[in-house]
Amino acid sequence: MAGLKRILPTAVAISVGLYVLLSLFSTEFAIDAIGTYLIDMAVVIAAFALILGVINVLRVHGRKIQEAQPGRLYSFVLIAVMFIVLTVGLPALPDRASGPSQPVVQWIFENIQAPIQASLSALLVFFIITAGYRMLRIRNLESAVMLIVVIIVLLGQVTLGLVPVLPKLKDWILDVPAMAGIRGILLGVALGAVLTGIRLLLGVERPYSD
Amino acid sequence: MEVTGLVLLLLILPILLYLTSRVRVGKAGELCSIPAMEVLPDLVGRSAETGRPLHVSVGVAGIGGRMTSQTWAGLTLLSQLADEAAACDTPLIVTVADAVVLPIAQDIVRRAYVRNGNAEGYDSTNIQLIAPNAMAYASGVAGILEREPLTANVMVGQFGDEYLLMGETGARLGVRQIVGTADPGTLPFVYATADETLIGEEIFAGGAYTTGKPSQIGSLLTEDWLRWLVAAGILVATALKIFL
Repeated sequence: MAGLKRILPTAVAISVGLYVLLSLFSTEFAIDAIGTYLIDMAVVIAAFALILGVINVLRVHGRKIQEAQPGRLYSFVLIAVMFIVLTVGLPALPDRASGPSQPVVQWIFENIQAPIQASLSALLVFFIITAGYRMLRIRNLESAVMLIVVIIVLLGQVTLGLVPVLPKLKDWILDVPAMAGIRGILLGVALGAVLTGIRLLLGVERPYSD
Repeated sequence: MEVTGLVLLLLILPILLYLTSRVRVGKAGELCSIPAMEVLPDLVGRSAETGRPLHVSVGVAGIGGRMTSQTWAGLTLLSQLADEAAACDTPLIVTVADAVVLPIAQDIVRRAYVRNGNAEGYDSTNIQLIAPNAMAYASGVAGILEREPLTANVMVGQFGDEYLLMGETGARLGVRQIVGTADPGTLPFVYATADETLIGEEIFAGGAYTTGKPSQIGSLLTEDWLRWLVAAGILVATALKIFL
């Protein structure tokens, strides 16, 4: 039984993965249809995972409130708002909008969630400044090189063009070494991603079973 | 396009199998040193000594999209950290941004505790779904970094600009941070705030470094071979462009 519990998830994962891969290369309607069905199944599983997510949020924050942990007020607000949005959005009456299109839910999104997220995005400016300051402190040779490059690129962006060579130097830095580095990273990431996919398909990497 | 993908797959498979077999018979060279991978076991040890938890994030992406491989890299590293944490009875706080990743992360940690004979030490509420929205997730994690007396913050997966909310908070609080992502746009922020960084494809090397399995090392070697092939291809194409 223990062996079956170990082998079954791996067998299902490998066979479904290989089948979906095969269906991508196939033009046969039947093969394609089953492949699409399996992908749709994944969407259904994702929807059920959302219920598990809600239960997890309730357990984590319910426990914080119960044990009077620091920040329990935020946990209370989170659970209260979650229930308010769920209750308001749930009723599926014949002539009434429900879910995200429900007017109260829309009002909450437009007047509470959107401004909060916009504020958080605005906060990033200050975080970028402090991170930039930390990065530009000269700790070693690399930091010194980075500082020099930052100064050249910053001054190269100045529209007045007091030093004519700087914009050209800035363009060269952005187009040649910076772009080459980014492309190198992206190529490496692509290779890494392909091999991770193959390892998963072959069942070499399977954290879902022992 | 599909045919190219199939050809690529059929080309990679034999190389992977050949190099894995070479590793099995001990014909693989030494792995290059990645400092971030080397400090991970120390972090768990220090966490066990101090009794203070370790925070692990697997990024803001989920499973099933373009960024699955990055999330998977984070989960692979989580698997290893969970094993060590379970063996030392170290508290581990895991945060995820995707509901599908949640049960996977919970299962990885639970299995690690069972494997190490510490099933009662597993607490499912230590694996937390914060929010599916990247910015909301980042602010939630920043709150955890502020409130919890953490030993270290390990973040491996997909991160965008929102990373700064977490990374900068951790750096300000003096929490030891090991961060890895494949997004070139986020890497400067990571470099600015983290103590150790995993740049680009280094995040996929976690399994090979932490478990040392022949299949994982074989996969890394395959990546290196393909890298040589790509570099040679670029050089040949450039030469053809210049001389023809």
